[in-house]
Amino acid sequence: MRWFLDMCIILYYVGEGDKEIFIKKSRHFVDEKGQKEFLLCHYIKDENLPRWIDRQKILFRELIKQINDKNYLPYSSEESKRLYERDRKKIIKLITLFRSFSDNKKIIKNFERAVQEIEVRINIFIKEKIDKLVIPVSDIDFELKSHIFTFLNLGSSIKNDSDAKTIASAIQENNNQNLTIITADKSDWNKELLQEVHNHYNLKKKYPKLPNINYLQDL
Amino acid sequence: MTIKQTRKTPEEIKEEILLHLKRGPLSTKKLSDLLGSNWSTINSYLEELKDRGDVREIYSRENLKIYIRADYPVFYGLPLDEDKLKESLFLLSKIIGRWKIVNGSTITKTPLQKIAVELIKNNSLNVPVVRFHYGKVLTTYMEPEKIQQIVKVYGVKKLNIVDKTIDEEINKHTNIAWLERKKQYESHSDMKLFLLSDYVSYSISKNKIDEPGKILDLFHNFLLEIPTDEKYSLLFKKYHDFISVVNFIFNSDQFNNGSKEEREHYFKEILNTFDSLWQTLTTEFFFNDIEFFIKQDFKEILQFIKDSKLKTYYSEIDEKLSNLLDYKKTLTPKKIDLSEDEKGIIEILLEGANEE
Repeated sequence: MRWFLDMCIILYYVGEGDKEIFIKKSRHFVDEKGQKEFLLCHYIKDENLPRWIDRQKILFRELIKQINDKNYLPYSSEESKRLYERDRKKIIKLITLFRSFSDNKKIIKNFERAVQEIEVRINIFIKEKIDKLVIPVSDIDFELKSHIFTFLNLGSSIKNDSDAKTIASAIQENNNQNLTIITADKSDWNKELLQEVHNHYNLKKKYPKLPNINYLQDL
Repeated sequence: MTIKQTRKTPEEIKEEILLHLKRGPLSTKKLSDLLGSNWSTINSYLEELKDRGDVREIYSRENLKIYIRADYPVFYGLPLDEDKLKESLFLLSKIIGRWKIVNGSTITKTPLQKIAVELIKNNSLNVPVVRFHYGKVLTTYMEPEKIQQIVKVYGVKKLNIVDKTIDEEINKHTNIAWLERKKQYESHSDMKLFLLSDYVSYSISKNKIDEPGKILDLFHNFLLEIPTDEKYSLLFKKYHDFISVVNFIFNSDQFNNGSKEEREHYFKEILNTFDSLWQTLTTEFFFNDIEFFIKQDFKEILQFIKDSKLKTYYSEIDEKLSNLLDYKKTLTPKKIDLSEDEKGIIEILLEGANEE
């Protein structure tokens, strides 16, 4: 069976801690791979994962500015505008974690080692677990992506282009050979969204089959 | 009655150009107005003066060209207020003279600047001081051997300071550049970054390559000292990228199991990149500090000169960082045992991954 992996599957797999049920589920799903074939789209590998790493670095610089410069107004830097609300929550948690550190140098050292370890684990995952990289970024169908984008973001203030590109890649690859999408994002990635593609005359003709979708939490 | 006008010779015009440029940089257009001649004539004379090494072009864009005398003693040829220039020259020339009397030798450039900075600070003299690559200096620079020539051209303006005070300060200094720099960095509380930069260069150049952990510590300390204002944000990011890749190299199998020569090679490239970052940061400092002393009508040009210098420096950083980043493709990270804190960081960063 061919499984098209959402980025969160990788991020959970490389994670730490036993509080998060998704980490356990992701590890179980990947480690019990058996005959499953894992697909990853180029967009996730070449753009979305590097962008996620970049955001963690922005988050770190914001944190350093906040703890190291009493004159710094939190989130006043230009790059901090790229952080989401959830990143701000992470900063608060990290500051709490670092409160016990007597030396700010240790914060940098630990953070750098942690991020490096995440990068290393991601690279190993891609190298060892992924069977095939699919749909080069330049081949993503713009019409398909735009259509998904419209319905993905209905009523939402945050416009999610990344999900639209990833889902479009999955639908395109499904046209070549059947696959099942695996994600943990029940709120955005759903069957109704995929069905919207068939409410579009041209896209229905172009993509007569739609992929199945499974959720990590349901496995 | 008609007044017969005598036609100026080309040499006289060139002399006049040089005379006007004593007041600081001027555009070809401004010089044409001052000399009552057309743009292209003045432009060709300026080209001749440039070929002769008497003037330098410091700005050129479309039809706007700005020239400065080659001996104009302000960094980057920036137009310093005339009184401030003369006061700076007074102080420097006084120190050069007194040093000769006190020590019987010629002072070198670094102690000259460091003594001047101390005298300005301790006697509350209103002479501009800026931070540059090697610490705090005056905005004016001078080869001590050329003092008489420079003073003759630009003149001096007396400051309220007596020889005894200068002599006392001279007695606290040596003619050794690195010692003078170190002394300044250590005695000024706002120069920790300079001191750290010196430690980094010293540690790497002295081949302390068996202690990468200590060097990484210095790099981390350095990050904590970089200003966080928005104007330094790009550099802050580049420096962060730099320490990330250094961390990766130091944690690789190839680095840890490599020969002495291989480790030296890595260190050489790391130091080279660090130097570029340092040059850029101190150039940012320089322009930030000097801005206050620059004539108002030159602010736009100042910005252009600043941008063009920094553009070159940032390209250099990008090139060197890219070379270091290439190592990430070839080096194998060694297995690291994460501490509980590091695991905690990973746990926090990867929370809510389904929203990504």
